[in-house]
Amino acid sequence: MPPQQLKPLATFQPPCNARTWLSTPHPHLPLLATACSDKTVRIYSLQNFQQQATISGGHKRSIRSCCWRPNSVGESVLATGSFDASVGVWKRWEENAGAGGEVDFTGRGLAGGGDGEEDEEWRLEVILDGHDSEIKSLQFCPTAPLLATCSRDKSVWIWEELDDGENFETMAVLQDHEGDVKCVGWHPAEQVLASGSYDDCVRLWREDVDDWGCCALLKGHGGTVWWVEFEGVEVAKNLKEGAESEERKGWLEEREKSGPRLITCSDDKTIRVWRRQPKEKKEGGQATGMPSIWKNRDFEEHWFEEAQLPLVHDRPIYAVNWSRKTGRVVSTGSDGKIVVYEEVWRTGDVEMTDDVNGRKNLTEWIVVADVENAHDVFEVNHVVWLERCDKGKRFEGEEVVVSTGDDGEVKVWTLD
Amino acid sequence: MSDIQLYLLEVDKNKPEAERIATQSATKLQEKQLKLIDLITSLEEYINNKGDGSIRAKSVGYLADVLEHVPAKVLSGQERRLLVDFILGRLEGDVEGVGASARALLALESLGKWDSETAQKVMRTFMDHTHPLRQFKLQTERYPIIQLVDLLLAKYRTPIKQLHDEDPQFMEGFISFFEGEKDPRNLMIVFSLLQVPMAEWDIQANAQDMFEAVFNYFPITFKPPPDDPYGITAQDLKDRLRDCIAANSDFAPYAFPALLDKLDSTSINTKRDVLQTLQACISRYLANTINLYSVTLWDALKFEIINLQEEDLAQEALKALELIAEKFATSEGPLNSYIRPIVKECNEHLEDAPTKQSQGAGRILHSVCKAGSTVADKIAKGVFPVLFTLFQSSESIAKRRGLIEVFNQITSAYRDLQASDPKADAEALQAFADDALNAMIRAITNAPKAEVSFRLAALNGLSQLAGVRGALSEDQVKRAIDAIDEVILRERIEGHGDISAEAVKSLVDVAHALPEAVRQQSIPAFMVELPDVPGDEASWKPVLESFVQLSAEQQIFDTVAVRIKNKLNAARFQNASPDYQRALLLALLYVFTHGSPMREEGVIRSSYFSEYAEPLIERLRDALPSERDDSTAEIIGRLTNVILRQQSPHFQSSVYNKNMEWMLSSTDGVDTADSRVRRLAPFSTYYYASLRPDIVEPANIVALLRALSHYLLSGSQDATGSGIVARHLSLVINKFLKPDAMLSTLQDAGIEVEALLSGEVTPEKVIVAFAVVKALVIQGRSGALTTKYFQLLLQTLPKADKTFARRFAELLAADDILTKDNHCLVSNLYKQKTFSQTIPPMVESVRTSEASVKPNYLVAMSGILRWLPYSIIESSLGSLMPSLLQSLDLNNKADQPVKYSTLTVVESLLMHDPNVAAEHSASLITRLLNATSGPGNVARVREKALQCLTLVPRQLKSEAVVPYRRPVVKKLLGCLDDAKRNVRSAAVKCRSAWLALEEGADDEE
Amino acid sequence: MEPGKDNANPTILNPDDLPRRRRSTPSTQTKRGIFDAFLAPAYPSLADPLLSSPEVLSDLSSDEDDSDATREEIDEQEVYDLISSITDPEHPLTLGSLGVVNLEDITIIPPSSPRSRISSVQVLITPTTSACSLTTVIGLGVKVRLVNALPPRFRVDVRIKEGTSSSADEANKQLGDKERVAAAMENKNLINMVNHMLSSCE
Repeated sequence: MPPQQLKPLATFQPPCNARTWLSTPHPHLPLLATACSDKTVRIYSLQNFQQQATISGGHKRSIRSCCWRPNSVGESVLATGSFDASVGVWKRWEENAGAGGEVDFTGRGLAGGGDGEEDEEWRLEVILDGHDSEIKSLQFCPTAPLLATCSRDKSVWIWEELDDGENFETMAVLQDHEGDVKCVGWHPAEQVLASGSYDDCVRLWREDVDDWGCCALLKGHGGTVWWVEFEGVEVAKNLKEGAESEERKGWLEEREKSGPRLITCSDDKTIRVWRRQPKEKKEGGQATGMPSIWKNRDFEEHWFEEAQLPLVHDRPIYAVNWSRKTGRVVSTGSDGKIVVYEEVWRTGDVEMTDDVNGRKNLTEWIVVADVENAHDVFEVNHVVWLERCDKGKRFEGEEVVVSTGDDGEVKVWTLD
Repeated sequence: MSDIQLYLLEVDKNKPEAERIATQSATKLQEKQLKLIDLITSLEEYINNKGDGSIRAKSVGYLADVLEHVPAKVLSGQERRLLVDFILGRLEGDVEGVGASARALLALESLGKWDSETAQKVMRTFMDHTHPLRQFKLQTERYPIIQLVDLLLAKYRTPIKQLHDEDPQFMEGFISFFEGEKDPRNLMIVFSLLQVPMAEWDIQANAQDMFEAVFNYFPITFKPPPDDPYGITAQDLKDRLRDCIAANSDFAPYAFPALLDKLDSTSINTKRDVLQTLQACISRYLANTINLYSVTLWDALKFEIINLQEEDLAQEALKALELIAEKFATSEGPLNSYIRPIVKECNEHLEDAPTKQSQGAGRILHSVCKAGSTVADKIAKGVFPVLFTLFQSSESIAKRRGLIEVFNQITSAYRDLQASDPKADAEALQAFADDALNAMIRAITNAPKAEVSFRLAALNGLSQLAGVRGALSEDQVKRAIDAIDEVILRERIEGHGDISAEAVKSLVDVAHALPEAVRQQSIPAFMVELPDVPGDEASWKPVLESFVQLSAEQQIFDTVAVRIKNKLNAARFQNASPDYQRALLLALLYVFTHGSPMREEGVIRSSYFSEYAEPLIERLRDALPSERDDSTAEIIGRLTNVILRQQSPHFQSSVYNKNMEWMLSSTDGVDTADSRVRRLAPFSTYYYASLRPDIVEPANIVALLRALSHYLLSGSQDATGSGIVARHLSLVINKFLKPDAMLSTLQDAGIEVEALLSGEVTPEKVIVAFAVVKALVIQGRSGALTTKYFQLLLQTLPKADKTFARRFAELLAADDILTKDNHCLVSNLYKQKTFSQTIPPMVESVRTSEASVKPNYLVAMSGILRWLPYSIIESSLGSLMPSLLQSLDLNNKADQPVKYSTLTVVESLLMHDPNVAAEHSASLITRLLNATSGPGNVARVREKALQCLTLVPRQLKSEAVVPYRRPVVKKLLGCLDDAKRNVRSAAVKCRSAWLALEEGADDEE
Repeated sequence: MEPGKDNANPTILNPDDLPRRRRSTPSTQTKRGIFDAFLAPAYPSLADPLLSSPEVLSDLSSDEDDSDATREEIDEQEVYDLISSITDPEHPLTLGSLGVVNLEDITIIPPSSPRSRISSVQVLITPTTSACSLTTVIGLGVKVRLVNALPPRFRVDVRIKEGTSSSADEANKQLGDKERVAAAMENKNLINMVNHMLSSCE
C-alpha cells in the first residue's frame, strides 16, 4: 500500500454533460480552463470550484485542447485547438489584474458563474487555419512568443506571435512524423519543442541557423505516445538533501549538465524518462541514427532513456505531469487510475543497477499514492499539478492534482 | 329564324341551349311539324358554306344532335339510308365535322341495323377519306370515329372481315389508320377493337405491322391526371394492350424477341409488365408456337430467379415457367425439350449448394413440377439421381442441407399437385423415396444437434414426403414417424439445438395425411413414456406437453383424449403423485380447449360430457370436505364449461337437474354451508358460467346468492376463497338476476351496496360491494342503480384506505367468466359508461382535494384507466394529463401496477397524440427518467418507462426535445447496467433514439 | 454480378444456425410449460393489493419472485445480440449472418483487481474477404454500437481477427485510438455510414 493517499477534494460545478478532454491552470489567476467535447471551454474558479464562464461559438467540433499564454499581464490569452482543424485565440481583460479573483470571495459569489455578462468579456481574437485535420494539442513557448500546434495531418506547426497576439505567422511546418502528432511540449528554458506521435516516436525540434528541424528522435515506446513533458528548470530538486556521498554529488552534477529531462507516456502502458547526453564530450551526439554530414554537429542531440516508472496502469496512459515544485509525477489513463510517483535515491548495492546503456542509475521511481476509479468507471483523459487556491489551503505552495474525465467532470485531489 | 340558325347562334356560347334547340327540331320531326327533307334543305347553305369550315362543321353537329334525339321509328328505313348516303357523300368531299358525322352515323345505326353493304361502305369511306386519324387534332373528333369503327367490328363482323378477305390492301390501311393515337380514352377502344381482327381474321401477312402497331405503346407509362373524370388507370391500358399482344400466335416471332429485349430494362415496372405479358402470351398462343420459343424463354426467365433481384419479379418469372410446362402437359416431345435444359442447369447449381443460385434452382423446379404429374415425374427422374450422388459424395453439412431443401421443394410440388388433382400419383418420387428417407433420417439422428437448419430441413422433408399420397410404403412411413418420435421423446436440449417444437408440428402434419399410421405408432410410443406412476417431472412433462398438441389434428383427437383419460384413471388408481394427476387433468383441459374435438352442427359433440366431464364431477361430488383441492376443482369446472356451454337447453337442463341437489344442499351435515360453498366454488363458478340463463330455477339462484354472500360476509374466509366466491357472486348477479328485480333481490340477499357502505365499512363488505357493482357495470341494464353505486364508491374513496382504492381495478378487470360465451350480459358500452361516470369527477377531486387523499384518487383512477381502450380516453387526455403525471410520483411499492398502467397510457398517448404530451414535455421527461431506474421501480415499470422515453424524441418536435438530449443520454448510462436484461435492451433502444437526435446547428460543413 | 463490391457473393449463414440465448435465463429457471398459461393465477387474490387483477398479477409478480436481487449478468451472448444485427456496409445482410461477428470471438474480461470496477469486452471481427476495404468502417460500427449500448464500466476493444485481413494492424491501431474514434464520430460522412449500419439494430 503506497505511503500517501489521494483524497477527492472537490468536483468543479456544474460538470459538463459530455466528455471533457483536458484542464490547464491560468499562469497567475486562480482559474482553470477545461476543453470540452461540446465545443466549449469552461472556465472554473480554483477558489470555490464554480464555473465562471463558458467560451463557445468559435469551433464547429470538439475542442480537444487549450493552453494559456504565459506571462501575459493585464489580459488573459487562451488558445484552443479543435477537431475542426483550426486554432482559436481568445482574450479577456483581467479585472484588477494580478490580484486575481480575490473579489470572488467578498463580492458576487461565482456560484452563478458563467452568466452572460461574464461570457461576453471573452472575445475571439483570431482563428489560425492551416492544419488539414484535427488539432490534437498546442502549447505556448515559455521563453519566446511562439505557439506550437500539432495534428492528425502528421505535422507540427510553429507560429510566431506578431504585434502582441493580434496576429500569428507560420514559422515552421515540421513533417518528419509518420503518424498523427498527439502532443507537443516546450523545454522550460531553451527553444526546444518535444512532440509525441501515433508513429510511436518522440521527436525534439530546434531552430538550426534560421530553420527549424528535428534534433533528436526518441524511439522505445511500443505504442502511440500520448503525452510528452519536460521537467522544471530546477532538476531533481527533491534529491538535493540526501546527496551527501561523492558518488551522488557527481551524479547530480551530471544531471545538471543534461538539463531538464523529458517524460513521456504511451498506449504501451509505460512511462519513460529521457535524459540528454551532456554535450562537451564531442563524440556524443552521433548516437542518434541520422546522417550528420550535412548537419551541424552540435545541432544534433542525443537523448537516452534514463528510467521507466513502475508499471501500474493496465490500459493506455493518456497523461503524465511533472510537478515544478516537488518533482513528483502524476499519471492517468484509460484504466481510470491516478498514480503519483516520486524519484528517490536507491539504497543498497548500486553496482547491480546499471541500466541498459550501462549507466549507473542512482535513483529509482516509487509509487507514493494512487486511486482507482477516480472518475467512477470512466476513462480519465488528463491530470495536472497546480497550486491550491481554495480556503482550505494548508500551507504555502500546497499542490493539488486536477483530473479531467470522460464523465464530463473535473476533479481536485489532495495528497496526504 | 330556322332552328339551324338559332343553333348556330348558340352552339359556341351556350351548348345546352343549342342542344335544346336540336332536341326541339327532333320533336318537330317526330310530330311531323317538320319534314326531314326541309330540315336538310334548311342546312344546305351552312353545310356547304364555302368560306367557313367551322360553320360547315357546326351544321353537321346540328344534324348529329338532332338525330341523336330522334326517337326510334320516326325515320323510315329509306330516310335513314338517304341520310347515311348524304353524310358519307359529303365526307368524300369535305371532312369538316367528321366527328359529328360519325356521331350522326352512330345515331342512325342505333335507329336501325344496317345491311352488309352499308356497313362496308361506312368502313370504306372512313378508311379512304379520314385516314390517317391523327390528322384530326381534337380528341372529340377522333373519339366518335373510333367508336364507330368499334361498332362496325363488333356488330358487322362478317361483312367487315369480307373487306379484308377481298382486299389484301385493306388491312394495311386499317392498321395505320389509328397510328399515333395518344388519348387514353381512344386507346382503350382501339386496343379492344383491334382484337377482333387479331383473333378472328387471318392476318399472317400483316402480323408484323399489326404487332408493331400495338407494341409501339409498350410499356404503358401513362399516369392518369389527378382528377381524371374518365377514371382510366394505367392498369386498364396495360391489360388491354397485353390482350392485344397475346391475341394471335402469329405475333410470336416478333413478340418474344421484343419482350425479352425489354426484359433487360432497368425499370422494375417495365420488367414486371414484360413478365406479365409473357404469361399472357404463353397461355394464349398455340402450344406449337410456344414450343419454338420455350428454350429461349427459359434462358431469359431463369435470370430473374437465379440472380434474384426483386422477389415479385422472380415470382412472375416462376409463374411464366410453370405456364410453359402446363402448355406441354400432354405433348411429350415439346415437354422434353423444354425440361432438358432446366434440369441440366438446376443440376449444375446443385453442385455448389447452398447458394442463392441453388435456392433459385429449388424454386424453379418446384414451380415447373406444379404444372402436372407427368412434368413432375420427368423433373424428379432428371434431378434426383444427381442430387443424391452429390449428397453421398459430400461431407459438408451445409451442402447437404442445401440439397435436402431442393428435394423438399419438389416434394411439396407433388403435394400441391395432389391437392388439386386427387388422381395424381407420385411414381418417380416413390422411386427415390428410400434414398431420401435414409438421408433425412440420418440427418436427424446422426448430425450434431447444433446443426439446427440441417435437421429442420430433414424434419420438414419427412413430413412433406409422408404428406404425398403413395410416395412412401407402409414400412417407409413407419421409419419416418419413428425418426420424428425419436426427436420428440428422446431429445432433451435446452436452448440452441432444441427442435422438439418443430418435430411436434411435423408429426401433426403427418397425422393429417396418415392419421392411422400415427394412431398405430406414435401414440403407443408416447404412452410408453407416460407410465401410470412416473418418476420426476423432467421425465414425463415434455412428453405430455408434446402429446396433447397432437389433438390439433381432428382425425386423431378422440384417440389422444381417451388415452389421457385412461392414463388419468390409472394414475389415480395407483396413487401417482398429485402433480402428475393434475398435469393429466390439465392435459385433458388443454386438448378440449386448444385441440380440435369432434363437432356436431358446429357444436362440440355432446357425448364428450358423459365421457369426460361427468365422471370427474362425480369425483368432486363424492370427495370428502377434507380433500378440498382448489386447483383440481377449477380444472374440472373449466373442462365442464368448455364441453357444456354450447350444448342445447334441453341437454343442459337435464345436466342441471341432476346436479342442482347435491351442489347446494348441505343437509348431509358432513360440512357447513360455508365450507361447502368454499370447497365447490372453483368448480361451481365455471359450472354456472356454462349454463344458459333460462334453464335455471329462480329459487335455486336466490338460495345460491344467499349462500355465496353469507360466506363472503361471514368474515371467516381466506383470501383465495373470497376472491373466487366474489367472482362467483358477480357471475350469478350478472347472468341470472333480472334488471327489474335487481334492487329487491340484492336487498333480500343482504348485499345492497348502499347498505353495505353505510356504517362501518369492513373489508368483507367492500369485497361484496365491488363484486356487485362489477356485475351491474358489465350487465349495463340497471343504469340508474349503477350510477348511484358509482357515486357511493367515489364518496367512500377519500375516507377509505388504499386497498379500497385499489379495488377499482377489479371493476373493469379482464375476466374469463363474465363473457358472452358464458351467456352473460355484457353491455357494449360498459367501459365507456364507467369512464364517463368515474374519471371526470376523480380528475376534479385530484385537483381540489388535499395531498393526503390525492393518492387514493390517483390509484383508483389508474385502476379504471388501465382497462380502457385508448379510443375512450383519447378525447379527455388534455384534462387527464396532470393526474397521470402525478400518479407517476407514487413511490409506494404497492403502487407499481398504478405506475405501470399509467405508463401504458402515456405510451399510447405519445404514439397517437404527441401534441398533448408536448405541452408537458419537461415534467414528462423528468418523471419518465425517474421511473427508468430502481430501487422503487420493478423491472416491468423501468422497461415500460424506457419504452415511453424512446418515443419522446421520435414523436415530439425536435426543437422541443433537443435541449434534453445530453442530460437524458447521460442519465441513461445507468440503465445500460440494469440488473434485468430486457430492461437493458429497452435502455439501449431508448438511448439510440436520443443519440439519433441531430443537435441542429452542429453540422454546417 | 455486382462488380463494385469486394466480395460480391459471400457465404450466408442460415438464421437457424446463429447462436440464440437459451430459453432458461437465471430469471426463469425452468422452461415455461404449455400448461402454465392455465395455472396462471387460479383466481386473483384480492387480499394482496399488487395482485388486483390476473394480468398485473402474472406480469408484476413474476419479477417480484426473482426480484432485482437476482441479476442477469451481461454476457457474451448479450454482446453478440447487440452487434450481430448490424448491417454490413456493402451487403444488405447482418454481420451475424455473414459470420463477420461470431459468438466465440467475443470475450468479456472481468476487472483486473478487486479494487477496480473496469471490465473489458474484446471483439474479434472476421472480414468477408481479407482484402475488404471496409474492414475499418465495420470495426468502427461495432465499436460505436458497443460504446453506446454497454454500460461505461466496459472498455470496448474491437480488433480484426488474426490473419483475416491484409490491413489488420493498421485497422487495429485506429480502432484502439480513442481520439481517432471520437473524431470519426464528429465526421458527417462516417456518421451517416455508421448510422446506416446501425439502422437495423433493434
